[in-house]
Amino acid sequence: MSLTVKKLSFTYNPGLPTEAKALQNVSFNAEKGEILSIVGHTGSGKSTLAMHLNGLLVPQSGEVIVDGLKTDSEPNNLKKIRQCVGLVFQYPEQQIFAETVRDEISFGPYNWGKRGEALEERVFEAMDLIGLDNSFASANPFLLSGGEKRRVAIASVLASEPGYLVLDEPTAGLDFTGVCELTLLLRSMSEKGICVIHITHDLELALNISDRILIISEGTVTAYGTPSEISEMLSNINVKGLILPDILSLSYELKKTGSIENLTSDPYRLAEQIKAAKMRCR
Amino acid sequence: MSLIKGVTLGQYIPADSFIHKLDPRCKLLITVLSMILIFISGSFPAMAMWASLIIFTAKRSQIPAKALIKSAKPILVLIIFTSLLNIFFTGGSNIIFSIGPLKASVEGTVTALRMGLRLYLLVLFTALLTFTTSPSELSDGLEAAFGPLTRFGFPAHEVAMMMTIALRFIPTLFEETERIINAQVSRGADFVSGGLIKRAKAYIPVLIPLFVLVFKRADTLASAMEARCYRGGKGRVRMYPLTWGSAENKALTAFVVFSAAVISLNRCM
Ligand SMILES: Nc1ncnc2c1ncn2[C@@H]1O[C@H](COP(=O)(O)OP(=O)(O)O)[C@@H](O)[C@H]1O
Ligand SMILES: [Mg+2]
Repeated sequence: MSLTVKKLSFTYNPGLPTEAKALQNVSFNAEKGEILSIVGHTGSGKSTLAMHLNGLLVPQSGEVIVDGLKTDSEPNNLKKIRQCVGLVFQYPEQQIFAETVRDEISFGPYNWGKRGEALEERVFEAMDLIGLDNSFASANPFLLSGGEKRRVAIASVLASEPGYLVLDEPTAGLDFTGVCELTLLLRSMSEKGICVIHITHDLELALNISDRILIISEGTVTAYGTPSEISEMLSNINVKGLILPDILSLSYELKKTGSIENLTSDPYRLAEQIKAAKMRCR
Repeated sequence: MSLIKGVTLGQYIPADSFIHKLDPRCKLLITVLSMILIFISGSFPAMAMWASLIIFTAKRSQIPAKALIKSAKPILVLIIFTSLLNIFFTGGSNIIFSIGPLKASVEGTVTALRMGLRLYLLVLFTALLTFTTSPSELSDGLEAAFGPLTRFGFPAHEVAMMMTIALRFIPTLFEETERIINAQVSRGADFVSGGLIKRAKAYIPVLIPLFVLVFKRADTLASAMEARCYRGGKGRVRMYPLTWGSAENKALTAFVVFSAAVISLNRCM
């Protein structure tokens, strides 16, 4: 049970003056229970990739396989895939349409055929997961604050109980507390056995919360591995448009000048190492 | 799953050509004249001449034939529909075939073909105008064209500004619509199955967020314009004043000569 992308390529408007190569030969694999972060600069093809994962776009070449089902196959499979891969678009609060929070969140499960008690249950479970009090159920979603709206929108995807959760820049426009709450949510989703695919342009955030990281630049994969492998790799390659976290660049500098040897690439321990190096410098 | 992909009507295709550089007033004038002329010279040879003018212009302005044909596609349905009406309702004595009370005559078919071709040529002509003229140039041209009417209280500047804004936002709105459709499809929305009413209802989750977005955008735009002290047309000067030079004179002369030839060809037939 996993989500596999094999040699995926996609070009917008092929043959027209507005042609844009969005993805080239992208391959990776995401397992249940892990957080995979896809990191890249604006225009690197992250959103295009996200739309391939639940069959909104079908591969022009290569393939996307979800639990053994190919996204470019018959419509029946596509329906199963969409139910099983929940996609939270960038600024998901813009998709809100219902008069009450309850109606908004039940949209997904209702479309997948849930009714009555079961539907109700899904709605309150999702609200619980995302930390929305039950009293919100009858509130008008358009009158909520920005952060609350985003939670309602994410809950509306969670309510369909997806096995894979794809979030396109879910932290965009959130304040620091909002980001922290969201990352806790992602962690708890993955601990529940859900595969979380988290799209971001923030490498530091990705290094802190992910099990694995995929870095894409101009539509191609430039690095793929665990956070410590990635921080090791990034000392050698230069990814266009990617801003390194200060702590990483500092540790690279210290390593270059010989102030620390044997760099542990674990971002959690970098600070400790640097502190130790500073002591030695005295 | 893109329900609205490929809409290119009203799009601008930038290129470095003689036709792109022409003054928008000149292009507007030629387009309006050609519309009138296509309507009064409707014989088949004349239409062939108009078609060749369109092909020549497209070639010179580096517009791919594909884009031109695609742009007229949405209108094509309408044209085919009116042509069908023409076939059956023109009347005439030489009946080709009949379906129940509907009779298709030779006269009707010829009329239908002529009307259909005419409409198609008109659409292609306007498509050429929007392909080669940026929205801001187009509205500048329109403002200049409507200028004389301000004396009778016609708000030329305001109308032109409204057109600019509308044109500017068409592609953005298409993008937003597509994004919202995709988001709802991801949550299991189904726009293709069921009866007419069910399908119409399925669009509610698209239309409401779209309206909300549009109003927000309008609000932001209005604030931004006010913040830059926009007060309407009075006393505004242009960054790029329109200039009517020898290129425009040449283009207009060439068009007039060509039209005269087409009209006389039409008379002789
Ligand atoms: N609908 C579209 N039509 C044409 N080109 C597009 C479209 N959407 C995205 N692109 C292009 O594809 C590339 C990747 O875009 P996107 O996937 O949105 O990147 P990201 O989400 O990483 O910012 C960009 O160069 C963008 O201009
Ligand atoms: Mg994006």
